[in-house]
Amino acid sequence: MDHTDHTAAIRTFVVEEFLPDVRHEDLDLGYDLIANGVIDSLGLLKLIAWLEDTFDVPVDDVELNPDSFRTVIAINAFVSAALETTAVRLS
Amino acid sequence: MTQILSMLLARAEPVGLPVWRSFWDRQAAGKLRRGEAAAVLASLGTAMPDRETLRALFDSLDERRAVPAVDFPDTVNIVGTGGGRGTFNISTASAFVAAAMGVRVLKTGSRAYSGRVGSFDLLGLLGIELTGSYERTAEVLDRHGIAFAGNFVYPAQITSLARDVAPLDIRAVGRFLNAVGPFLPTIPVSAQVTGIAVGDLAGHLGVLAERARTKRILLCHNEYGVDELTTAGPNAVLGNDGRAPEVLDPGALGLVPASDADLAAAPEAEAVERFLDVLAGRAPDGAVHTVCLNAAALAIAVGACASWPEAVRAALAAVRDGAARRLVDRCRQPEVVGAHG
Repeated sequence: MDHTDHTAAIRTFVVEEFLPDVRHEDLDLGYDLIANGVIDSLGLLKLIAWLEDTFDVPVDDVELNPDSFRTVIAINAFVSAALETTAVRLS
Repeated sequence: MTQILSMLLARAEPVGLPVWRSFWDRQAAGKLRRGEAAAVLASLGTAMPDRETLRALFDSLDERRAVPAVDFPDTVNIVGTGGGRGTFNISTASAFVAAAMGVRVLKTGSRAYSGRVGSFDLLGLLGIELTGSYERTAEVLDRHGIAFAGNFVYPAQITSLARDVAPLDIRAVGRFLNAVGPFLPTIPVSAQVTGIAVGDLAGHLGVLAERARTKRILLCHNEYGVDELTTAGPNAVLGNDGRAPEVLDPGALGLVPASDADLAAAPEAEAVERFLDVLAGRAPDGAVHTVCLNAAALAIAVGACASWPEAVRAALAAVRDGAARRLVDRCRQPEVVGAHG
C-alpha cells in the first residue's frame, strides 16, 4: 500500500471546487460528500478527472463506485490503492 | 505536418477552438492534406484527448450544426459507447420494451464497429426503417412511439471525415468516434441513457454530459465491460441533472443475474431470432431482465416512472404480455429488409 498521505491536497481540491465558502480546516475528513449533496454525479466525474491528472491514477482502474469517493479519507485510500497497483505492475 | 496534427501528437497543450475551426474549414474546402483525416482520427483514437480539446472539438461542431425544425419532448434515446464486451443488441431491445411501456423512444446507433451485428445491421435484418429526416422521424415516432434515426443526425463534418479516410476503413481509425458517438448526433430529445463500456472514458463523457444540459443524461457503468446496464452485478448510475451518483443493485430489484452466455452476441444468422426471443421473454431470464433493466432506465431518465422498482415492473410486464414483441412486428416493413447492412 502506498502510505503517502494525499488528504491535504484532496481536501483543498474538494473545498475549492465544491465548497468555496468553507475553510479547508472546517471540512471533516470523514464528512459524507455524496450523501450531503456536496458532490453530485458530474462532480464525481470532475473529481475523478482531477485525480487522474494530479496523481496519475491509472484510468483503467477507475471504477465509478461512489463509495470510493464518499469522504476525503475514502478518496485518499482509493488513490493510495491505485498507485500501489501501478507500482506492482511496474515492478 | 499541420498544426492540428502537431498539437495532437505532442499533447503539450489543448487543441483550442480556432484550430478545430481551421481544420473544418480546410476540410470543407477540400484542402486537407493526404492522409490528414486518418492521422487526426488515429491520434484521437490512440489516446483520448484532454478534456479541453474535447470540449473545443464539440464546440466547433456545434457552431456548424443546423438547429432542427422539430423537437422531441418527453422522448429518450439509448446509445452506448461501444468498445466493450460483445453482446446481443441490448440497447435496441430495451428501446422496444420501453416503447411498449409507453415511453417515447428515438434511438440513434450505427453499424457494427467490429464484426458484430450493430443496431443498424440488426434493424436492416428486421426490416425496420432508419429515418432519413427529422420530419420523417416525427411521423414514425407519432405512429409507433419509437423511431430509429439514420445517419442524417450526425454532423456533416464527421460524415465527411469518414469519407476522407478512404480507402482506409473508418472502423480502423474510428475508436474515438465510437467512444464519443453517443454525443455526436443532433437529436433534440429530452433524455438519454448512455452506457460506458470502459471506465477510462467516464471523465471525458462527463465533460460531454455537462455540455448537454438541455437533456437529462444518465451515464451507466459496470465492471463487466458492457455498455448498458447489466443484471450481472452492480451498476453505477450518474446523471447530469444534479443527482447524486448511485449504485444500482439489480438483485435488490428482484432481477436474475445475467451470465456471459446470456448476454453474448449472436452470429448474424441467428441475430434476429435471438433478438425476438428476448423480446418475447423466451430467452434466459438474465438476458430478458438485463433488457428490462435498461428499459426501466429509459423510463426513469424521461420521467415516465418515479422509481426503479416501478419502472422494472412495467418493463417486465411489457415483455410478459407480449407488447414488446408485437411492437416489433408493427414496425417491420418487408421492403426494408437488409437495407441498412
